[in-house]
Amino acid sequence: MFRRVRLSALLVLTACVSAAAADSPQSLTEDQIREAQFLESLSIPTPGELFAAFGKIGKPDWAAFFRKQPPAPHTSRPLIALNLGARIADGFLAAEAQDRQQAKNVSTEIKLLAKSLGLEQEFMVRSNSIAGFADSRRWDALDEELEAVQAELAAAMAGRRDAELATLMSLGCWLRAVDVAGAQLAANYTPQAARILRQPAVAESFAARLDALPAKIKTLPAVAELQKRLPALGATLSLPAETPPSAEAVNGMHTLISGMISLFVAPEK
Amino acid sequence: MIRTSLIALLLAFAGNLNGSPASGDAAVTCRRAALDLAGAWANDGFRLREHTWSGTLPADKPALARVNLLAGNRYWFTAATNAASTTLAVQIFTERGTPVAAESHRDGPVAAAGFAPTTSGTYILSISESGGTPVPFCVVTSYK
Repeated sequence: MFRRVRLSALLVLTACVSAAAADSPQSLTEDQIREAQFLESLSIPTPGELFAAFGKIGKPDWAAFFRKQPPAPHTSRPLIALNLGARIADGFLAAEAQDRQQAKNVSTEIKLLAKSLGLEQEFMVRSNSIAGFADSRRWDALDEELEAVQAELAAAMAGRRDAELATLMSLGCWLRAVDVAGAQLAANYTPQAARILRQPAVAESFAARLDALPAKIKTLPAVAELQKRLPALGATLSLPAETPPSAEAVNGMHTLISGMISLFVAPEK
Repeated sequence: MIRTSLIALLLAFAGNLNGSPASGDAAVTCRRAALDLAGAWANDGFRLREHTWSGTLPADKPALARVNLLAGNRYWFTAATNAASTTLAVQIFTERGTPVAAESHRDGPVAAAGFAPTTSGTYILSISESGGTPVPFCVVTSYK
């Protein structure tokens, strides 16, 4: 009888292991890894994601990173698109800081920039929603609204054969988000926080997209300089996972990004 | 006969594309179904990303995409198809192709995977189907 019990137990154990093996996924093959697509819609973290991750470590004073000066007026559509993206990131920052007035101020600035690109109508409805969510302190909804704003403006740009402006808007947004995260990290460095910043391949993806822009945009001094500096930024954001950037590297990265942002924020010459 | 073979070849090639575009109505239906399930995570404080990933799942082959995930955040990737008899699966892998320990939800044509990365970086998202025929799909992302 004891032998029968032992055999039954062995059969049950075998069945459990088989079931577990059937459920556990196999590793991807090298071909599959190569085939995995980099999709802008999915592969680039939003400012909201980045700030949410940093917000879990300590209590960042997000308001300290507000840009109080309104954007300098530009006539160059590529520079306006870069600034528009950066302002959208500022909207996420206002939401993270839970600052109603700043959210509304940024919304007004986004509207003016969208107007400069002939996209005011696309933003009108969202502008009211942003103010409404800010007033009712629905910060998560405000985050979602800002991402929707960016998506709709990008779709409108593509519809008007201005897809390159959507690329620049996306770049401006990502740079400003990393700028804020870098500033927070530079002021309050910990290796744990430095590990959050890692975003391999994003800078490389933007560099490739800038390279594919029409020559008349690619050769604009600000755009050309951004493309030149992206690899250095990418290198800091692509260090191995077990080797977070040092405090010195973070300071260097923050200086680099601040310089990149000033390329398109500064008044046109 | 050559023309028929050529057309068949082109159709076979189209079927093998990794996540080729889905038609408008199918994409809307899939998105709605994915959002319905993702509403469960929203009730738990997850924020929904506006951008979605839509396409057509090739037969017997997963659609694969790279995502950058941030340490400290938690994510849910929710997928849906409008093909009711299909069973979807969502899986997450490291950039080296190793499966990660993720929560899993499967309910026929809708599925989700939840993951809290301890390391920021690139991960690979896999969507697959069991039916052996190409089906449209949509994936929505939530995070907190």
